[in-house]
Amino acid sequence: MNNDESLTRRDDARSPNRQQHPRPVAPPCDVYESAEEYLIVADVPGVDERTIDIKLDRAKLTIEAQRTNGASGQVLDSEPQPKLYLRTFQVPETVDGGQIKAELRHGVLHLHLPKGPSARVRRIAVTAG
Amino acid sequence: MFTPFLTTRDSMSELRGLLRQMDEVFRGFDRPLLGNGNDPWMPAELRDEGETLALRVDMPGVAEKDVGIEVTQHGATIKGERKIEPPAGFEAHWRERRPYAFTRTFALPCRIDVEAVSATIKNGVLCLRMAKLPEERPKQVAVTT
Repeated sequence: MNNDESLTRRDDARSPNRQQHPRPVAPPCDVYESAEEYLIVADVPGVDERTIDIKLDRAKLTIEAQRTNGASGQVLDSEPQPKLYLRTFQVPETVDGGQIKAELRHGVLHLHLPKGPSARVRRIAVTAG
Repeated sequence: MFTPFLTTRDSMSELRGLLRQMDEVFRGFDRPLLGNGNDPWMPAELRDEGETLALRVDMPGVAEKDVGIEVTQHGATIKGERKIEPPAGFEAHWRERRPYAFTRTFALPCRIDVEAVSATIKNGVLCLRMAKLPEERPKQVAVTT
């Protein structure tokens, strides 16, 4: 990854559809790296698999997720819940976009971004001459 | 009159609530303007479903085994913790998600049957469904001439 600031730029107030949609909230995220892939982990409680939209446009990765509200009955009291999650990351162009995998567990999104062959670390064995 | 839904967790709760509101205002920034950011924000919602009350609390990343619930006729207490373990073989570049332990007590607007309570976690949201005592349930009244 390039640097921390570019990784975590938030789009909260700049969504073009701001008028039609609820105010987007940037979910808290962790970013990890291994020799083979990058891993983004995001808290998106209340969201199911069908309402998550993940887009990779060159090096710009956007996660957008809508909270599903299947609840019925009269609301007696509530604290502000995020209705729309939105977060953008600048990712290295070496990410293999065709191999990105996402899974959702306990309201936490795990996004696996495999590195392309050119970005993988290779260990070179030194042989005795 | 409806009893305040959210009871205090401790004496600092109101101050924390204020700090959170200010964080809401400044949400566009990467870090909370005030506060240490360690206090978990777990929004809750209470609904009246007629014969039951449904309490929903956001708790992403909390497994079923890490939650404990106690109910009385008048309230519910939820305790738990969230563990965050970096995946093996990975190096952390950026971390915003935090481990935390929590205890929240909710006052209920009517009495419930403590034997008729169910709890599930779906998509990181705890749903506690509590049946009202029969005398607390709405009753149909026929209009006679």
